[in-house]
Amino acid sequence: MNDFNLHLKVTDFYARYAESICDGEIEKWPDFFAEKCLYRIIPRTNYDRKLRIGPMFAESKGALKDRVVAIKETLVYSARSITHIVGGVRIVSADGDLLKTRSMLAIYQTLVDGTTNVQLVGRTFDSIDISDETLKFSERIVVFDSELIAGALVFPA
Amino acid sequence: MSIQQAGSELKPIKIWSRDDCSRIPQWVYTDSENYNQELERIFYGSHWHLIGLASETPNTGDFKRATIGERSVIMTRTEVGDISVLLNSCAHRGVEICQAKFGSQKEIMCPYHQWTYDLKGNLMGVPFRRGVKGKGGFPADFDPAKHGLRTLKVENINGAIFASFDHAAPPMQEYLGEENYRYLIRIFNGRPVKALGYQRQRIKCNWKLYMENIKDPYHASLLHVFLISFGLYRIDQKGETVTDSRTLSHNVFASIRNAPGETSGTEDMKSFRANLKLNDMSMVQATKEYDDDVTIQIQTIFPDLVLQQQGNSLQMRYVIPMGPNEFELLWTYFGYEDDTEEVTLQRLRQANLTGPSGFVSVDDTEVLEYSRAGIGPNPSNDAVLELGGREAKPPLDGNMVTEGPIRGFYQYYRQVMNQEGTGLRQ
Repeated sequence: MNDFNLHLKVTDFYARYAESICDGEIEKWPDFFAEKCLYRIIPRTNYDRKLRIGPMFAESKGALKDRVVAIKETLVYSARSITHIVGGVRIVSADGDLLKTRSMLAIYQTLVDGTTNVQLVGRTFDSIDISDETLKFSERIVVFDSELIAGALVFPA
Repeated sequence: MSIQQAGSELKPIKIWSRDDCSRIPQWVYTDSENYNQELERIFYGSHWHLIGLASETPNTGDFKRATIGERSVIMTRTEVGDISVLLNSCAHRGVEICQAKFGSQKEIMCPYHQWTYDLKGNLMGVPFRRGVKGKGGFPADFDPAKHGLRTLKVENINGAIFASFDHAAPPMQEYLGEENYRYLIRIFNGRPVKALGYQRQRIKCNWKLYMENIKDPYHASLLHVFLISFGLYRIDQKGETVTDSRTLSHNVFASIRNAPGETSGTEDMKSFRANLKLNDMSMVQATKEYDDDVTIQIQTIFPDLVLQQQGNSLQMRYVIPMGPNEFELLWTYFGYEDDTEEVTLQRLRQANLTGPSGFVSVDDTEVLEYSRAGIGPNPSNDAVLELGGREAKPPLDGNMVTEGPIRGFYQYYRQVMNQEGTGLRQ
């Protein structure tokens, strides 16, 4: 595949990923990941200090499915709409079937009766496995700037 | 009689309807004047507040900015190796000196007129003290010793740094009482501790409701479907409830996780979902690391700190009020310096339970914001707290079907707000 087609394929993958969260089809979200994967959302202040704590951390697709069960079945939260704006998708490097990629992300949240607010803005540092026709994240690290999170962060980024 | 004297729905007379604390008037969550009194008598009074971990500022000159109430303070490692906590406001014109969250400096210099302090807050120098070419300058009797940064009383409990604005505050051990102190040093037991990271949330509700939430085992078995459905918490869990008997304001719930399936009371839990099973069990695999079998320790230290062990997840949740209607919740997750990578990973995995996206904490954050939505427009209503009786005395048998710890919190709160003292020195 030439670089241009690969780039199109990667941006299409990022778009579909965002759609799964924003279209209310959260049960599809784990399918964007390899069975063994690393998923982390982390504040920039921790990331810069090489600390690993953040709102979400998973090392397997199973753990992501557990989060989906929590979101759909057990967590108590008010209804909300989420819109992801994804930009600056770039392939940083390629090593065999593994691409290092990154992107810029803004997440808008709208609560019932509410104006729309920016919930998170940040950068993502990812690895994508392209060995199969269907791409999979083997790693996705979302580093967000927001020092204070407004309320709860229910949905993944 | 004017409406003012009689009170009205939106401007109630600020009294408590009963002598006991089985009713909480909702103006305590909304009234600005009451809030300012809380800052003065509780946050800036004779109480202790968490500043951070000593390991966050390991070397001379290292500093960290922290907050008590609405006041910014600077924690600094001094020239002689101890920790100072200083008000982050220049003695000259009141400017906030330090904006960085962490850093290192040889001296503390205000950016505005370069007044310079040593690491203990003593004023070392002011520019143009003798004027320029014989003109201007400070009066000859200007005494730098009288213009240092305000210092706080500091105590280092095995690496956890606490501070108080009142230098007459009793030492932490006396402040907490023996039993609560014993639980504090169960976690801060002398093994050096290190921060694993921070999380910060702004929650739109009065700060006291957060402390109440932690003192309320009633909700835990009802609201937290994740915990009950995956068998991580049961209302009949074997445990111990410890309350400081003098102030009733510091509490510990310490319990031992039941084996899954072994439970009672689920018939009253409408949200209970049987048969849920985790795909990835690594989140609940824990390593025993203390001399007892306690798997969950939840401690509230008046006024603004929660210390929690949930399996291997160790956290301090620190409440920073931002007016009567919102607060910041600052989470510090920590471990021990000699942790193996596997134990650190367990702490990181179990951190999924708590925090802004916590499988448990999301419920609390949301419900607290619903509290504010329901309470805000209705300040003349009373909250009703009669589970486990009307007295503030703690249950002695460890039972968790009680709102006693919340009543205890308010008994002490009323005493402090009425300026009847802290009851610690008789």
